[in-house]
Formats: sequence, structure tokens, C-alpha cells
Amino acid sequence: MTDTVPMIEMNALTRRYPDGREALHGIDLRIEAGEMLFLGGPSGAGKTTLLRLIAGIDRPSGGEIKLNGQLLNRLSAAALEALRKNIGMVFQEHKLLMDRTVEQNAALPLQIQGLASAEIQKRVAAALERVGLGGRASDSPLALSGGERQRLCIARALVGKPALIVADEPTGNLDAEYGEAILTLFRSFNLSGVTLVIATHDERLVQSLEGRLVHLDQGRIISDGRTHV
Amino acid sequence: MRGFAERHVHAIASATRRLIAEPLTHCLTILVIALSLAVPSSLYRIISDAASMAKGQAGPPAITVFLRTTVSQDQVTKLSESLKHHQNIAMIDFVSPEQGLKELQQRLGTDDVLTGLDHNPLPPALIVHASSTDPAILLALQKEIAASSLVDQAKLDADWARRLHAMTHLLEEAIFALALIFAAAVVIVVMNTVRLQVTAAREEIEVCKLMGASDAFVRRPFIYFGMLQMLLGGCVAFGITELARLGFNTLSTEWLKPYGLSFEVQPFHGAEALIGLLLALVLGWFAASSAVSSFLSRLRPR
Repeated sequence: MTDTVPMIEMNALTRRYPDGREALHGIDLRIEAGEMLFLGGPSGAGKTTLLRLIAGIDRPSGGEIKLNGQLLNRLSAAALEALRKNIGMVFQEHKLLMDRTVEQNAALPLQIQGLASAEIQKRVAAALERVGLGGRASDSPLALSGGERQRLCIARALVGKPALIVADEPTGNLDAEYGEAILTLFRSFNLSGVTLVIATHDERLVQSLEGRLVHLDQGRIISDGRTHV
Repeated sequence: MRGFAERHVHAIASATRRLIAEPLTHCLTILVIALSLAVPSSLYRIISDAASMAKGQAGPPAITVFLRTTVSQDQVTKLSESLKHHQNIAMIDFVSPEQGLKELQQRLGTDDVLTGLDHNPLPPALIVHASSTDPAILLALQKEIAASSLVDQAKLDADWARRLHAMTHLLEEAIFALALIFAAAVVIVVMNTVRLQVTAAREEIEVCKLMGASDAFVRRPFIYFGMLQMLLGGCVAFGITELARLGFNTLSTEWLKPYGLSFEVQPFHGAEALIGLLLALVLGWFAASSAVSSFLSRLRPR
């Protein structure tokens, strides 16, 4: 155990659904700031549930979860919303707004934060440039390929300059080439100090990057180690 | 501060986009809102003007104050002056014994009213015109005047005052009830439109909530949407009311002229129109806010 406060700390964390089904059983996990952690495991292992608990979207049924030392269990809905503003999220199904442009999609987290439009424009341009979508700002997401859409999701996640990014199956619908490109992009964020928690079932891709790999199965951690680059 | 203003500008722009996106649907909704606002406001205008005309023709309720025959002219003037400043008195007319006799002779159609009498027995009188038609205020005023040592008797035609007050009160209550019914209809129309908009934007709202948007952030464009609909509905209602007023005045002039009568409904003045629009905006805010809050309370972002 180190003396420093970890970025994320879970103790005996349990999540039970209203139908009584337990998605997570007594998870103990500590994620330090600056780590790049992959959550592996088959579908239904509890990866998405764990990410939702980290992001404060769902509340645990038992145990505790702390973010930067702050206990999330008893935070109000408004406090959890405020907390989510500082977490970058990449969703498996993209969750892009198809009636808005690429630029407007990327700007959404900053509008939620209430930033001035000049600052929003500046940050969105930089984020789109970083993911290689600099020239597509005024396009509709409908005009983007699967890989480009995922990169747009990543731009939207990093535009708020979060210290933590959680990503759920970011390479799920992509072929190997695009998948690798996305993970390389994540690696570059990690090298600049961002903590990343990435859920993926594609372990072949994961093994190509340096990081920590936690395996989940049926709501339990079955292994916790390093990737084998 | 700039960010705050930009958030609102952004929300208004978003509400306007929603309104323009389905022009026909929203035009019809605005028309329904306008008619619902125009009907009670037109009736209010016609009935209040008619009630004012009735009051004007019947004259304001008056208290006839018979003074003691022993009071001097100086005392009458002093009493009259003190009553003039009373908050419930609009006007006072003095009727001298001679004037009273003349009116009595005219009413009876004879000059020999004083036959057998050595002097005019009529007392000096004051006709006190009240500023209110409320029977309770009139009765209190009558009692107050009668208490003066100079006054012999203060008579009030209480029945007429009660009838006039009851009639205007009933009409006011009827308009108020009608306005409430139409206001409820307007609120339901706006709530339903906003509910449809919110349901259509479910995905967008879910994404915003996942990214930490507060309820206020989500609610804001929809509240502006509801208020915008009501603002436009209020403006159209104002136009409809004016058209109805002009049409009514043309017809009433045509019908009443042969009888030597005239009745014209007056237009809403600036303050009335402004209050009406503000009320419409408050209703729009309430309806939209309720619709979005109800949706958000059931939303569980996936």
C-alpha cells in the first residue's frame, strides 16, 4: 500500500440490479493517477458496470468507491453530475448527435461546463486536430467512417482536459488497423499524464500496449497484472 | 458572466431551431394558444367596458344626507369640505332647501306645495357620490356620515348598490373562471408540445446527462421553447383580440345607432397588453418546466 491517495479506490464493491442479479461481487481495486488500465473479460463480466460506477452514472449496492479520496456512494445526483463533467467518457455505441456537426459534438462537454464560446472553439479545434479530424469540423457524423466516429468520441472525451478517461469497448466495432490506431491515441494521452480505464474484450490489441490488465469474470476480478508487450 | 449569457443565448437559439424545424405543427399549436388566450381576453374587454357603461348610465351609488334644519351655511360648507377628502367619496352636491323645494314642485307638477305652511320645511341636503360600488363600503360610509351631529338622516339606496355590485361581481367571477379554464387548456397544450419535443430529444438528453449536464442545462432550451410558443401565441392573440374588437364595434354601432345609443369596446392599453404577455410567458415557463421535470425524474441514462 502506498501513502498517496489513489485516483480510484474500490473496497468490497458490489452492484446488484433491481431484478436481484449481481453484476459485481466484492471488487477491491486501486488505480493510481497516470495508470493505463485495461479491463478484460467476456461479455457480461461486469466491465461496463464497473466503468459506470467509476463515472458516477450508477450507484453501488454495497462496498465503497472513492474518486480522488472522495466517497461517491452518498454523493447527491447533482454532485455526481458535477463530478462527471471532469471525466472524459468514450462509449461503445459512440452516442454522437447525428443532427449536429463534428465540431458541435466535440463542443458538447464544454458547453455543459459553461465555457465561453471563444474558449470552446479553441479547445475543440485542438482536440479535433489531435485525433486527426481537423479538416472534418463542419461535417455531419453521418459522413464519418466507424473509425472516424470513434476518434470523434475520443476528441469529445479529451476536449475538457480531464485527468481521467473511461472508455467502454473503444475498438469494439473497428477492424484491427483502426483499433490499433485508437489504442495508440490513448497511449499518447496516457503519456501526457491522463489516467485511462479502458474496458475491452479484444485482448490481442491490449497486449500490443504497455499497461495494467485486470480480468473480470462473472462480476469478480480473476487476475490483475501487466500486459505482455 | 459572459458564459452565463452565452448559455442562455445558446438555449434560445436551440429553442428557435426546434420551432423552425416543424413550422406547420408549431404554427397550429401557436394558433390554438392564441385562440385560447384571445377568447377570455376579448370577453373581459367587452364585459368590463359594458359594466362601466352600465355604471355610467345608472350613475354612481349616492347617499342622500339630510342635514338638521338648524345648521348654518358655514357648518354645511365645513362638513362638505371634510367629506370631499374622504377616500370612498368621489363627489358631493349641495342641495339647498330652496333648490329642494323647486325639485319637489317639478316632480309633483304643482306650485302650491307650501299651501298652509308658513315656511319651507325642507332641510339642506348633501348628495354624496361614492367612489365604490361595494355595498359594505357604502353602508360603512352611510353610518359614518350619519354619526355627525349636523346630520339628521343619511339615506342610501342599498338595494340598487347591492344589485349593481352583485352583477359586476358575477361577471368578473365568470370571466375569471373562464380565464382559468382557458389558461389550463393553454398549459396542457404547451406541456404536450414540450413533452413531445423532450421525448424526441431523449437520446441527446441522455448523452448530456452522461456527460454531467445538470437538470437546469437540459431544461433551459425546452423552457425557452415553451415560453417562445407562448410569446408568439400572445402576440397572435393580441392581433385576434384587436380584429374582434374592431368587428364588434362596427356591428354595435350599426345596431345601436337607430336607438340613439353607442357602445364601443376600447383597445387594450400598453400596460394591460404587457401584463397579458408576461402572464402568458409565466404560463409557458410553468408548462414547459413541469413537462421537462417530469421527464427528467423518470430518466435513467443508459
